[in-house]
Amino acid sequence: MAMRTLAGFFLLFSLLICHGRDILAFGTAGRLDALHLKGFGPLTGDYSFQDILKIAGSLFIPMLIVMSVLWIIILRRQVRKKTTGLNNEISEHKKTMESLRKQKLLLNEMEKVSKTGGWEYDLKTQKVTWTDGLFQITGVSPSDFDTSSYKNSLSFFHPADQEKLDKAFFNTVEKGDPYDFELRIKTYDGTDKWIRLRGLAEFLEGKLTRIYGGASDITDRKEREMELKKLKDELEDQVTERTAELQDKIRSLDKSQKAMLYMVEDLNAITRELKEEREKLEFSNKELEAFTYSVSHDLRAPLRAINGFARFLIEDYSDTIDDEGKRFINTIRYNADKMDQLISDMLDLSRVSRTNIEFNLVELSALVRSVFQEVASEDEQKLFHLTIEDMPPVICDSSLIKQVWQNLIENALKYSSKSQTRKIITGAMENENEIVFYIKDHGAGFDDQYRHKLFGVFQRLHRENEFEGTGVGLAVVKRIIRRHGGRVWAEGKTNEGSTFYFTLPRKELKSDY
Amino acid sequence: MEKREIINEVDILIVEDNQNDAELALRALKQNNIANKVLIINDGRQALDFIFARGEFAKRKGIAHPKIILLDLKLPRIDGLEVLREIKSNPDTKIIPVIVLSSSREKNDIVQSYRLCANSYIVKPVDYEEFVETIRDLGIYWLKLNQQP
Repeated sequence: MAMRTLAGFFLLFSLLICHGRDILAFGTAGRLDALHLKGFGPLTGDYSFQDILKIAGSLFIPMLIVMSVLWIIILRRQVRKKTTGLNNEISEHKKTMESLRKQKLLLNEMEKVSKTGGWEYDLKTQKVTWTDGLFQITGVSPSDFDTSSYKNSLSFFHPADQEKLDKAFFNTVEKGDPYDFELRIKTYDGTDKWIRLRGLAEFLEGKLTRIYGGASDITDRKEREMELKKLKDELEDQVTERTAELQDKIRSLDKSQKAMLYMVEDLNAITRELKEEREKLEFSNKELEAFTYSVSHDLRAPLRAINGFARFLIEDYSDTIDDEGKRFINTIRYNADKMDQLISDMLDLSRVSRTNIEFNLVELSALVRSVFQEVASEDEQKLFHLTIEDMPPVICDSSLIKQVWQNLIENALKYSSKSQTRKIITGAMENENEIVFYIKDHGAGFDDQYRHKLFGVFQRLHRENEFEGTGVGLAVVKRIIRRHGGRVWAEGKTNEGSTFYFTLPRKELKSDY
Repeated sequence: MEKREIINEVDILIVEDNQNDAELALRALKQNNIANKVLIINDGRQALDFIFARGEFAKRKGIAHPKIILLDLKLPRIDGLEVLREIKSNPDTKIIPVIVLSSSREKNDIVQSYRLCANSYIVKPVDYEEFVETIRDLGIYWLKLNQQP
């Protein structure tokens, strides 16, 4: 059947092809005749319109049926083909969707784990789209926050960074330059975070279509970095500080070393000088000793001879020497004695400087009493009234201080010898640092305007014929007290007596004295 | 025995280099009637030679034993302290009383003399009357009061 139909259809189709031109000229009588001739033989009669219609109908209707069947067959085949394609496409699409879903899940997971996110800005719609990661980083939920507005998205950034980002973004919009920043953001709940933000441009057919990029939460790294930086800074500070300290130390060491060197040099110089001085001193001490030895041994012998032989003259030649001659001889003898006294006093004076001081605790009241008994003659002891007021024991050189009291008491006795009142008062006054001793008499006193001369060597305020003396006694007193670290002074009025003071510093008795 | 007698004839040995002082001493002794046998020697070396019978006194045998020695400290060649040391370090002579008769009042001289076992230290006074008195006292004490073995 099918084959027949197909044969019929084929026949019709060939006819159409072969005579198409003629059929197209249908309507024209001549041509129709020709056509009839070809198909049905020559026309034998006249054909009415109805006949023609019949012929046409019988010819075209089957043709039409065949063609429709053919058409349906072809269409069915086409639909079947298309359906298969569509089915294939749908399954492909499903696969793609599934893969996309999986990839999205993967991406979300990756974003979550790596604290990253992505975004894009569509230039056509001017909207911003975020991935889940970005929501997580910023701490907002997609339902609460409209990220699509560029300004909203920008609001998370630190004001200073907003400007920077804005500039870079528009630079990308205009020129397509990518950017990559580390920026500060404040999340929805107010936490400060650092993110790394990248932006790239995408072009389609030379036209910028969107800007997209990624962001990652680098707070931890940043914090560690800052911590490290802080540590590094602190370390650097410490190093700087230590270095400075060390340099200071080195400098001061350098200085002290130099100072030490100078000191050593100085010390050496001083030692040399001291050594020289000591040698000089030793030399002069030796000289002084030799001098003293010579004075004490040699200077007296001639005096003794003068005195002695002058005496022999009187003894052996008294008959031939008259009184005037004897007076001369006695004057010679007196002056020899006087010279002897001067020598003694000078030696006393120099002895004060030469002897070493030996400190001991000395009971001064007892000392004064015994000195008075030694110094005063029996007559003087009877004539004079000595008062010894309380005196504290004091640390001093007993033999030198004894010499002081000897000289002072001798003076008091001597200068009171012509006075009516023969009283001597000795005593002491204590203060914090020193003890002041005094001896007061009612003797000849002295003219106060010359008191600065009192303690000078060979200085006298009285004439020889008034009171004998060499003018050394008080100089000795002054030297002794000076050597003890004390002071001496005197108060007096002519014919109204005088008071002599001296001080001795309070001392601790130390074993190294 | 005979010679020893001769040596013992020296009662007072004066060691003194100053002739004037020696003369003063002799006169003072005489005035005090201490007219014992006095020998004056002028230097330390000679004094030791005399005492220990050496040098110019070598012919004499035995050690001299004067009753007292009056010794000056400042002497030529060997000084008084050295003479004193030698006398006092010899067991035979150390019992002889040695009286140092010096011009010096220096503490150092006095202390050193006593350290070397001087029996007395007397300062020669410049004034002759005092000198005579001193010699008198000295003579009375050492030659009359003092008992010797």
